[in-house]
Amino acid sequence: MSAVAESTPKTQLSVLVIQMGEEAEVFRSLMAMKAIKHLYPDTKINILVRREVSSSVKRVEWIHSVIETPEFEDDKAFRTIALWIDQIIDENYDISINWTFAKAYSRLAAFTTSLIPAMIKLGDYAREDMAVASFDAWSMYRQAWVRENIEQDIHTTDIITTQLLTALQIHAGDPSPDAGATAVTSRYFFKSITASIPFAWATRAKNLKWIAIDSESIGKVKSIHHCEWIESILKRHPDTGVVFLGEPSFKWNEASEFNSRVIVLEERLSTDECIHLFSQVQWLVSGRSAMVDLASLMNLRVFYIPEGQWSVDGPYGNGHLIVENATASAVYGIWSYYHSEWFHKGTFSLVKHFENLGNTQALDHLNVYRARIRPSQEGGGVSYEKVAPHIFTFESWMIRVRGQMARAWFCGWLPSIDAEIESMKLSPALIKRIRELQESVRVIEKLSREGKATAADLMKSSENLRSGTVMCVDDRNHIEDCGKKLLEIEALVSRVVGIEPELKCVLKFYQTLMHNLRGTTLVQMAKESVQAFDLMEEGIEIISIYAQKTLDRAKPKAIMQTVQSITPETKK
Amino acid sequence: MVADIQLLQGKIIDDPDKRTHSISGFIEELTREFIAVKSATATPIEGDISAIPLTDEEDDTLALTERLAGGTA
Repeated sequence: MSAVAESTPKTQLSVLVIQMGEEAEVFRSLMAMKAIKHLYPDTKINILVRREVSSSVKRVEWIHSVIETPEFEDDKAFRTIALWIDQIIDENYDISINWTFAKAYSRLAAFTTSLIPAMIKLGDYAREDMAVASFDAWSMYRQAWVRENIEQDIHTTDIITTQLLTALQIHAGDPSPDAGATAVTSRYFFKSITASIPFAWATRAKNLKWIAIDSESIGKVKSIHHCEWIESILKRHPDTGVVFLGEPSFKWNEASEFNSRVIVLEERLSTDECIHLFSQVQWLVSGRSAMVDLASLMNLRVFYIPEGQWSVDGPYGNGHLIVENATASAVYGIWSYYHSEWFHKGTFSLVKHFENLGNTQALDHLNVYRARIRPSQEGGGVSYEKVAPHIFTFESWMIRVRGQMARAWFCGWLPSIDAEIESMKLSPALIKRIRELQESVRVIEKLSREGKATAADLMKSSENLRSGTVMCVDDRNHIEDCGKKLLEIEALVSRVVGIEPELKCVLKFYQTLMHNLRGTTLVQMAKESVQAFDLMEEGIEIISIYAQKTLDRAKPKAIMQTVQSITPETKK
Repeated sequence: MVADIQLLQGKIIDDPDKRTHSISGFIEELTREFIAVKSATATPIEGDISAIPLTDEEDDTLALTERLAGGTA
């Protein structure tokens, strides 16, 4: 009797996450994997990571297996790597997903993705011609926008989570109804181990609330006099201590009267040491660093001071703060307001707090965002609410709109545009800029419709052909004309983008879709071109609606329906 | 409208026994990438990484690479 192969029950799918990037990416992947595990508890989640950044992953109990990259000597590299791949393919994966994005490792991960068999593949991979391409829409989106520094408001963690979640919904059905809305981050995210810790930290005063400061990353933000806000905290909050992770590059006063509450850990901490320390501190103050992603995983509150302009990245979860264009006194003011939030419970505003500190000028040019996880009925994911000031610049307006485009394309839902616009404080400069944008939007709208019609014509013409190679001269000329017209349309869109660079997102996404055409016949490729123009048209329509609604809100409104005429009688 | 479901579902490999001609080439390229990554943290490689000779071992590994050919995309 021959054995009959049984298909894997849909709920017990085996998923391989290929994450060969930086440690920060590993932490973000862990966040996404935990969310998936929560929604599909029976899924076996496996991860492939580089040996150098694997320590945290090995401390996660619900991961089915961890595959590390091999150690090799250069002269035996080929054999070692071939053997390594050979061992990996012994396992049958239902889904493999490449989440590596760091440029330095993207080709490495793409080739690995191509070599490891799986029934369903997502992410970037290496084609037969050795070029890197993408298997799915979210990966194309990352290539087209995130790689090109086109800012949008969807956090990387949400992009990868949604990517895998959507694939699982398609292939395995809806998630577990018992999943609920439990938080995925936790101080106990990692299995506890006995790790060696620096002596200075082990002997700290246990009665203090500690703030960890990532010296290296905040040291890059030169516009802030860091000693000033740190001293303000130590001076006004005697129950607080500060631990510097790394020697501060800014000059710290070693004779400071508060030094008994300051610890400097000069040596770079290992990931295990960081995990240990983060479970015992109240805040992490940091700039761009993998520590921010680790702290987010461990539900440690982050005060994030990015160098330069902030785009949606960094801390993920509830209650984290992002501060742009701050002075030292502003950093102290914001921290002290949110540190005592449990006490005032938001009964007075941040502005009022600055008034109480006698420092309202510190709010000038300041941007403060507060991270919040949206309820699942609102689409979930992290959003960043602007706390101060409320005026929207055109750039921040565009970032919102781009996020809306992506949600409309791939998620099929949109946060209410009306509610979003209602919360914006509009300025004349923003309105003027949106009016300028509208002209280019109308042109691209027209071009995308024309492109779609041409691609549809090409598809119809090629469908009628008996052969893809032998055809009558008229048919050949018509197909050539359609091809030329499509190239002309792309060139025209490119010219419009030259005038209005904020619409580069539309062109880049179209070009990425074209790079990733899967079809092997003219009909298939023409069909994919129709879909590409369709997405372009829909994206541009979102911009158009958003622009119109914003302009409508800026219009003066009548406060009375009718004005009663004043007659001589009424005067009396 | 939402993007076509084919774009979101990933690539379905409907033939797990699919063979690709360039399996050996893929492993060679992967090896070069591994060496390049390793070197980036040590001394930088001078010149083109594609010039790194990898083929000495290839004869021994031919059987292995054939086995690996299943299911690549």
